[in-house]
This record gives sequence, C-alpha cells and structure tokens, in this order.
Amino acid sequence: MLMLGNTLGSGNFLVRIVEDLLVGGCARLGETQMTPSCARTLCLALLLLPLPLAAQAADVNDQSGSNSVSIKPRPSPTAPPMRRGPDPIQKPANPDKVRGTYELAGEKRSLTEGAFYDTYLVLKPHEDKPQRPLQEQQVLEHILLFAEAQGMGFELSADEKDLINPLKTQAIFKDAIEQRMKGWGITEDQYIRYLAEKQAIQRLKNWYANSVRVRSSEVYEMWKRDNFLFRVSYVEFNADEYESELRKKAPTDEELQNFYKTNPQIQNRMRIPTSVTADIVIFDPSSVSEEEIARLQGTRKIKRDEALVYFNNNKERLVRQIPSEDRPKLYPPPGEAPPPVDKLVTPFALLREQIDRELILGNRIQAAFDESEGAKSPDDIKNAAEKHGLTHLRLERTSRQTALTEHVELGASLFTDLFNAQAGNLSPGVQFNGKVQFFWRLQDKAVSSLPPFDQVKDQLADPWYAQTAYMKAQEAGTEFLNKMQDAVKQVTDEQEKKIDLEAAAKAKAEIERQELTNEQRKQLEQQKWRAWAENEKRKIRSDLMPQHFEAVVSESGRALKQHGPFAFTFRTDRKTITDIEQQRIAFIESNFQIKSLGPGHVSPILSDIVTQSHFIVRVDSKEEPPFDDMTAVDYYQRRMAAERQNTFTTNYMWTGFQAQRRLKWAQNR
Amino acid sequence: MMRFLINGLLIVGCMTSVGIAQDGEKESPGKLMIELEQALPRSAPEQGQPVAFSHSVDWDGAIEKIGLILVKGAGTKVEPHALYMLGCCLFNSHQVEQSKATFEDLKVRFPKHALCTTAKDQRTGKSLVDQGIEDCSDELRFRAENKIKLLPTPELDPDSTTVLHLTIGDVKIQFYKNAALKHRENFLKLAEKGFYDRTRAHKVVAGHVVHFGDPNSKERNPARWGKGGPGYVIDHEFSLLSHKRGTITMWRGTGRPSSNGSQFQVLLKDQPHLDFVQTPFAEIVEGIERIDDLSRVQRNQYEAPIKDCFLNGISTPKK
Repeated sequence: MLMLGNTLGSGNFLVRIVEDLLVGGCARLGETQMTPSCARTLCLALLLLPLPLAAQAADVNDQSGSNSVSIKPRPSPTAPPMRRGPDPIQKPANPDKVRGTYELAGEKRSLTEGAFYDTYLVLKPHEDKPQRPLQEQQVLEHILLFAEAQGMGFELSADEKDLINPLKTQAIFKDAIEQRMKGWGITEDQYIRYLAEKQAIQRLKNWYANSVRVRSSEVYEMWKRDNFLFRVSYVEFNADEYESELRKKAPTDEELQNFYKTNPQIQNRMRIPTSVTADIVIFDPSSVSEEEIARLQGTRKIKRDEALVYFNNNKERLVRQIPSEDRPKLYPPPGEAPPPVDKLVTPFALLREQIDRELILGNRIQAAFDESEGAKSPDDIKNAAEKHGLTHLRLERTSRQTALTEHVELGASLFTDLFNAQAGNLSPGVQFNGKVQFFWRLQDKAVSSLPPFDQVKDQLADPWYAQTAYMKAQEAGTEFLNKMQDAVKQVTDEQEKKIDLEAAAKAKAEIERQELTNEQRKQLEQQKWRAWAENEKRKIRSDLMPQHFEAVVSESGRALKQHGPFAFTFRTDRKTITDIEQQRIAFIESNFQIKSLGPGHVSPILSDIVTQSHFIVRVDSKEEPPFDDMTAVDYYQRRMAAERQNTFTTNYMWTGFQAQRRLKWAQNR
Repeated sequence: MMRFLINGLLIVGCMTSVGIAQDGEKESPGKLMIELEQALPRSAPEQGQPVAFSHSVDWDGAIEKIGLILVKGAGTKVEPHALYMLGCCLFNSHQVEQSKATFEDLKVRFPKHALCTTAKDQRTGKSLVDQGIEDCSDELRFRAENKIKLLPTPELDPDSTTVLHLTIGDVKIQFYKNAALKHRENFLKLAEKGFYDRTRAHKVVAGHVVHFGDPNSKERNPARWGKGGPGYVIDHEFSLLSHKRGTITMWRGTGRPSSNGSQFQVLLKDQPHLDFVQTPFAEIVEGIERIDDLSRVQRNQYEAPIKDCFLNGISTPKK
C-alpha cells in the first residue's frame, strides 16, 4: 500500500476506484440517498483503506437526526466522460510520421506521432484534470524524462512491475480496479506501464536529490562573501553643520506654508485622526464561575431539539466561532484520511457544549441586543446592559489608536468595524472575539482632517529647520561628488569619445555581418553596443575616481575619516546606541551599497535619516577573512544554506522543460 | 568502527557471488532496487516540502542500510547504484577518503555504466561518478590546508530529567550534556525561582507547536500573551540538534538576534527550517501525547486555548 501510495504520489488511484464504485454503484441502482447498509459498506471500505476519500461528498443531516448519508450524484465509471471541448491531442493520421528527435548518450532517437499518442492515452486517465487538461507539453516531458531514466538503468524489470501492480498486490480490489480500468478505456498493460514509468522518473529524481553534496570550499566561498574585511575612508555631510546657520534667521510664512503643503510626512504628523463616540456592551462568559453555571442549570437538561433551534437562530455568529483547527473535521482536505461516517462531525456537534452554556446563561446579551435595536438614546443601551447584568463601555470622541491601546482585550477587528460604520449604526448582531461577546452602537463619528495652516504654524518651524538642513547637507554632498566626477571627466573625456566611436563601429559591423534590414533589430543592436560603451566608461571612471577623491577632500576643507577593518554586519542594535559618532559607524558597517563595492571604489551619496547625515565612502581595502575565523556554527549554517540552494537547483533541473534542453529536443516542423 | 564496517562491506560486496546474500537467501534485483530507494535519506521533494539537511540526517544508519543492500545485490544491476549512493552518503558524513575510494571502485568495476558515462552532473557537465571523485579530491585538498571545525553530536543527559506539571498531566523532559548549556542553566534557574509557575500555554497550533513560558500569561489578558520575558535575552547556542518532533526550543521573535529569555516552544512535527535559527535545548522523553492533545483544543482569536492550560510548576533534578 505504502509503495503504491509513493508510486502514485498525490493522485490516489484506489480511493478513486472505491469512491466511484460506491457512488457510481448507487447511481446505477437509481438511488440518490445511500441506505444505512450502503453507508456501512462505505465505512468498511474506508477503514480498509487508510487513504483519503472526499468526505465532502457525505453530509450528515443533523436536522433529521438520522444516520442517512446523501451522496452527490456522479457519473458512473462506465458512463461516457464529461466533454470539455475538443480533445487537445488528436489521433494522428500517420502514426509513423516523425514528431521530433532527441539525443540520449550521444545517440539520436526519433519520436513518432504514434508513440506520442500512445503515451498520451496512458497518461490521460490519471493526469487529465477538469481544471488542468493534459497538454502536449506534459506528454513530451514525460517521454523525455522517462528516456533519461531508461538511460540510467531505472526502467522497471518484470519482477519490479509485479511488486507495484495493485492487481497482484491488492487482490481484494481486483474487481474494482478492473472495472475502473474498463471505465477509463485502458488495458492492464497500459495501466502498469503508467505506474512503472512514473516510478522510474521518480527514481531518477530521487537519485539526483541524493547526489546533492556541498564541498567545504563552497562553504568557505559563501561565508567569505558576507565576511570580507573592509577598510574605508569617508567624508561626512551632517545636517547639524547647517542647522545652526539656518536658525539665525526665522523662516517666512510662505516657506512654512509651502513646507506644510508639500510634505506628506509633516501632514501625517499634524492630522487630527478620526474619532468616534460609541456604546459597547460586553459579556464575558468565562467570568461566570462553574459553580454559578451549575446553580443556574439546576436539574435542567438542555434537549437536543432546543439546542438545535438555538443553533439555527444564531447560526452565523456561532459558526464563525469554530476554530480553524477544527474546520478540517468538517471538510477533510484531500490527502488526509477521513473519519468514518458515524464520526463525521457537523458545526452543531462541534458547538454543542457552547450552545448549552449560552442557553443556561439565559442568552443575556442577545436579549440586551434585541432591546437596543429600538433604543432612542444612548442611555437606553446603558440601561439595557445594566438590566441584564452586562458591562457597558462608553467611548467619547476616541481615536482608533487610543481605543486599541486602552481596550486591547476587545481585539482589533471590533474597532475596524466600528470605525468603518456610519453614525447611528448598530453592530450586525452579537459578536464574539474568542473570549467575550459584545455588540456596539456608533453614536457619532468625526472623520480625520488636516488642521488649517494658522493653527499649526508654530509647530512647523522646528521640522522645517531639520529638513532644510538635511537637504542642504545633501546638496553639499552632491556638489562634492560632481566636482570629483568633473575632475575625472577632464581626464577621461578623450577616452570616452573613443569608446563611443568604437561602440558605433562595432554596432555597424555587427549589423552588416548579420545582414540586418529590420529597423527595430538594427536599433536593438546599436543599443546593445551603447550599453557596452557605458560599462567601459564606468570602469575607467571607477579606476580614476579614488585618485581624485583625496584632492577634492583637501580642496573642500573637509575632514577625511578612516574606519576599519570591519566585516559587514546587520546592526540591529542601532536604537540602543546613544553616541552619535558610534551611530554613524554603525550605519557604515551595515550599509549594503558599501558591501558591494570593490577595493578603491567610491560610493554614491549614502544618506542616513537616523543621524541626519550623508556620506561619501571610498573602499581602501577589501580583504578575504582567514578560514580559521569561521566558527563551527558558521560552517554548518552556510553548509545548510548551500544544500538548500543546490537542492533547489537540482529540482529545477529535473523539470520536464529542462529535459528538452538536456536532450536537445528538436520538433519536426 | 564505521570505516571498518564500510571496508568490510565493500570487500564482501566484491567477493559475494551473483545475487546471493550471506544467509543464502536470494533476493530479486527489483526488490533490492526498491529497498535501496527506500534507504536513501532524501527523496525529491515536492514544491514547498522541507529538505533534510545533512546535519540532521542519520548518515551512519543510511550507510549501514545501503551497505547491506550492496552485499545482497552484488553482481546485479543494483550494485553500481548502491555503490554510488554509498559514496554520496559517506561524503556527507565527512568520511571523504572512503567516499573517494567508493567512487573510484565504482569507476574501475563499471566503467561503462551510465553513472560513469552518460548521467551528468547538471552544474559541471561531468559524469556523476567523475564529479563525485572530483568533489572528494577537492574536499581532501581543502581539509589538508584548513582545519574544519566540527560540532559534537549532542547527547541527552539522563540525570537531567525534569518534570513539567501541567493541568493536563506531567510531561518529562531531558536536557543535553553537550549542547545549549546556557539555555539549560537559564531554564533551570527560572524554574527553581518559580518563574514559570501558573503561566499558561499561550499559543497552540494543532499538531504543530505549543508555546509556553510567558510571564504575561499569568494575567487574564490574551492580547499581551507571547510578548513577555524575564527582562533579558540570551545569545543563541546553535548545535547539530535539528528541530524534530518532541524538541523544546527557545522562542525567537521574527528578526530578533537572540533567544527570548523564557518563552519556549514544544514542537509536534519536524521543522528543519528552524535549524540554526532557534536554539533547541531539551527534548520530551515522556508525555508528548498530552501536548498533542493540548495542541488540538479549541482556541481564541489570539491562538490561545479557550480552556486554560496552566504550567503549575516544574520539578528540577536534584543536584
């Protein structure tokens, strides 16, 4: 059984046979409802088969209270299959015609239309799904992968085929299997061929999955990439240099107004949030002690009919309370063993304990809710809550953030609903958040608004100074970088012109060589060579930039700072650093752009909002860390990452699409 | 020990006559091929399925199984395949010299087999066996120049049995002798102080995981559960321990660089993606079925059980 399960993967043959046999059998007898004896047969079959069966097909009818099971009508196995339009693959007129060729072990092989169609017929009953009809591509991929498996010697021998043949290993289902094959219109040979070919392909994939191994040199390479030792020189452009100068003169109203109008961040900071005035009535069933429940219950026993009526009246709310982990009990997902019919559960059965408890507690909150529906004033709701011994909560012009912070135990979804409602709305019935039951009424709502400029003018000056200083520091950085680039350009100008001419000549030669006449193709070729030229120019500039870096530094009168050696690291502790210099160092040590630079390279402007600074960094050196610095944990960690990567690559390589590339598939056109 | 076993198996494999096992029983090559496939530690995963990483695989067990198949399948079509897989397993268990010898033996004895000729490594284009030999040579060269630091195999300490007294019954756990010692010390220190007493199981996921150890869960406010701790964090102590069913691992919040000081998870299924991400520090030795049941109870919107399950206390081992 296990072997067969493995062989077939997700498509579960035996289950389909039993399912169709029973359902189809009933349908043939003209039954729409399965009798108890029929249901027992199904149970027996299910118990014998620890395999998934679509339990959704069976739906226990709780209302009737009987054991009858209704079955969705399905076509019998012998009925003609449902048509979904024309067959994607037609029977070839000339089966000997060569469809295409491929190479295996240096030998060229042909695939005829007849052989292709035979394979299609073998795959069709198992892999042609209503949602995903079997395509030519899938058939071809199967043929090629199987050819590769054959090449490795994985083709199943006669004795192996016997071991996976359910007609021999599962004799008890022989009749059922034969009937199913008849329904599909395939022979035993075709069926065994399908199983054997799938098994051979799976074996091929397993062999490659087990060939994955990682060399220590690969581990070291991987570790090195994250642990290069950097030494850098850098220039800082700090906002505080400019802020003191700016503060000597107050900003004009026009400047502040413009700042307020165009800056979404400052608008968000000033915005008055939406606020609500609402009444919430809460009932916590767990606050009632077991003793109190026992006292209320007395000798009363809740009858099933009474519970069922209560369930039907409150179905929507109650069904929502079924926890997600219990839902599979209602609808067993494919691939999992279903429970026997007599143990199939319904929402009512799952919720029975809770329903009884609510009935014993007198359904207080529902009564309060019903009374609140006709409430004319907020006090009516408060009175209804008090009358039924429930908690009443009043929110007065409260923002969502405040409400969430102060009443976190009520859950975020309550406030989402409340803030989306209109004034005067009552919650859609009694709600439940997993702990307490509640309902609400929204009395009033004030939507969010942006205060007028005059109202916030006094609060705008400080952020204006900070932001303007930060921008000025950035401008200074840009000017510095431009100076350096200009200095480089003076030297490289001639070289760059030569590169442009060379690129144009190469593009022309290539267009002539390929005899291109199409204008679009010509432009594409020119574009390719222009990109090459830009790359070449960038290389030359990168080589020269470091030479001009120090000259521009001394000309600008800025201090050149040094740092290193350090390895790139995620500085998650930045919030805890109080010293601003250390903060700036932490920024440099964790900057991705610096990590990707080579020795001698100069970075673009790197901006750090935390320290309000900008940096231009030159990498002085980038050295490989010694292997001895790698700890044992580093070694295993990287080895695991490499294995994950290699396994992914291996699996990708064994997709059918890659098989076409490997076997040099050539379609006969 | 394993080296002798492998060498012995190789010799026996070469000397045994066609298809005859040592006990005289003859097994069909087809059955042996299926046995070999089942003995492989990894199967080609379907999309999204976890991969068995080399540190968590029982290589010695796999080597032993393949070795026996090699003996039984000598002279049949199974032999070259078993030899190849043996070479792969030996490499992954750090027995590189034996691995190389196995690949070379395969190449000498079956020079025309597909594994030595047409079956190619997809990255390099070399035959699988040639690639195996090259990988081994490279590894041996690298190991001669650099000392690889290997982690010790973790061992449970039978004298460390500790009992968690839960509302649903007792659960016995054991710590490791040679892994996550600081986590062990921290856990026992907190347990002795009564830190965990009357905390709740604050998060459950059916058949998957149960979370304990948050001091916030002593109060009746599920919105705050899972956010507490002892006021400090501890550095990870990674080891060869894999996150398998029954493992107790210290919780680590998403993106946090350290373990939470007190919150721990009991895993109810293998979760290899947590290897080298969180620190496993103990293992359940008795009563895991109770945690299984607990994971399946009805829960509220915070994923906490509706019916409280308390950790009433912890009995630590006597010093």
